[in-house]
Amino acid sequence: MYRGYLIDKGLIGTDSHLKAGCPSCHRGDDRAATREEAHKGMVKRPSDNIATCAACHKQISANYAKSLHYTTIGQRNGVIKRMSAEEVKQFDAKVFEQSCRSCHASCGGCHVKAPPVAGIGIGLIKGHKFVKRDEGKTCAFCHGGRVYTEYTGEYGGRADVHYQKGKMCVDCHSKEEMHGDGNLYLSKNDVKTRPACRNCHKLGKETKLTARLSHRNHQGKVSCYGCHSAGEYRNCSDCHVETHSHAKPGFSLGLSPREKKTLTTLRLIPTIRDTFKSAGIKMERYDALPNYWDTPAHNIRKRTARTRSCDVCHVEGKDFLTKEKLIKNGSKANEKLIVKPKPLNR
Amino acid sequence: MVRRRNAYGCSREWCVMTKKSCVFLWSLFAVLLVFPLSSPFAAASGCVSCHTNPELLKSLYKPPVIAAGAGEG
Repeated sequence: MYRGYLIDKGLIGTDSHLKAGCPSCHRGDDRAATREEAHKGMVKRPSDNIATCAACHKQISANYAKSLHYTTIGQRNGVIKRMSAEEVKQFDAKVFEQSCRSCHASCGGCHVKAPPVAGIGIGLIKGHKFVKRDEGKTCAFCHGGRVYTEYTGEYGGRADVHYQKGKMCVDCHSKEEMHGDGNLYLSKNDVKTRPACRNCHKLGKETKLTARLSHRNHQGKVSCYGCHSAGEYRNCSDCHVETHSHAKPGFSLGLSPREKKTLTTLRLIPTIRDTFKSAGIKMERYDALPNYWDTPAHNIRKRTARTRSCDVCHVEGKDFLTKEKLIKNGSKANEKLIVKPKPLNR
Repeated sequence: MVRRRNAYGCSREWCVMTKKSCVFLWSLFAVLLVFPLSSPFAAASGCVSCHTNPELLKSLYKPPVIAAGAGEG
């Protein structure tokens, strides 16, 4: 799309970022006579080097350099536990920098130009305007495979109630969470500023007695998603480094693999036994982690089949992960996530 | 020699100087109005002249070759 490179004339002279001239960030030669000469030495994505933005936005840039969006260390941390020490070294050298790290978000990836995904991109946001937020063109491009489409209902299910009420990503995921708080986290679950349902929905403030009782009875045993996820969400069934991946809708309830206590929504993750085979990594400790992870499904509804009737879980055991439902040739750790719903005392 | 002064107590020479300054300032203002400070950059920048021209960019653009299966998952 040529429009991806088109600058809005009206911004020149009004947007302070553009006042210093294009070469101040992009290098190249704006006085050259030919296109080739002009683009010689040009930097396509200046904010890949955080120092570019740090010249003015010092504190945010310093924090951002340690944030998960920039380090993408969460992706590494999520998989290296399946590997031996030697394999981790191989992973870092052959896979992490070339593959995972190529997905890191730069400042411009959210504020200037939507990141291209698999060669497809929409280019500059609003003609090179430096926008504060435009989730549909930024968050959605990287998180559009699962979360964003679930949230908007584009994946086929029901849209998240928060989306229907007009809330977008940044309304819950604060700028402090996006930019980082200066701490180097290994996983998104460690981030202190990540959103939680209870930040807005306080326990004991429910208007209906049934809701209040239900929340009290399930507190600490079932996650909010466990009951309020509206239905099927995207599950990636396999993922190879260079060949293909498949996805299909699904909904599973089981124990959170993190603490094995809370019943929650589980999502099939893409890593399979031979995911890194082409990189020469067998994953010697593959069975150390399950193939299902607790997922904050972004298709929240106030009323779902599980909030309407206790029987859906406690009698029918609907959508609970069972031995029969587990993926074939999966991790041995999968079985530890299976839980049987407790019968009701009537 | 007695210098003539107006009602505000200013000399004739002072008034002439002030008038000249006014004319100069108004001229400067008019020049800046026509050629704003940012315009020298806009006019001189080769980047801007091409990247604000949709017809030119359209003629130069080559769509990327996307591998089969890219974007899935």
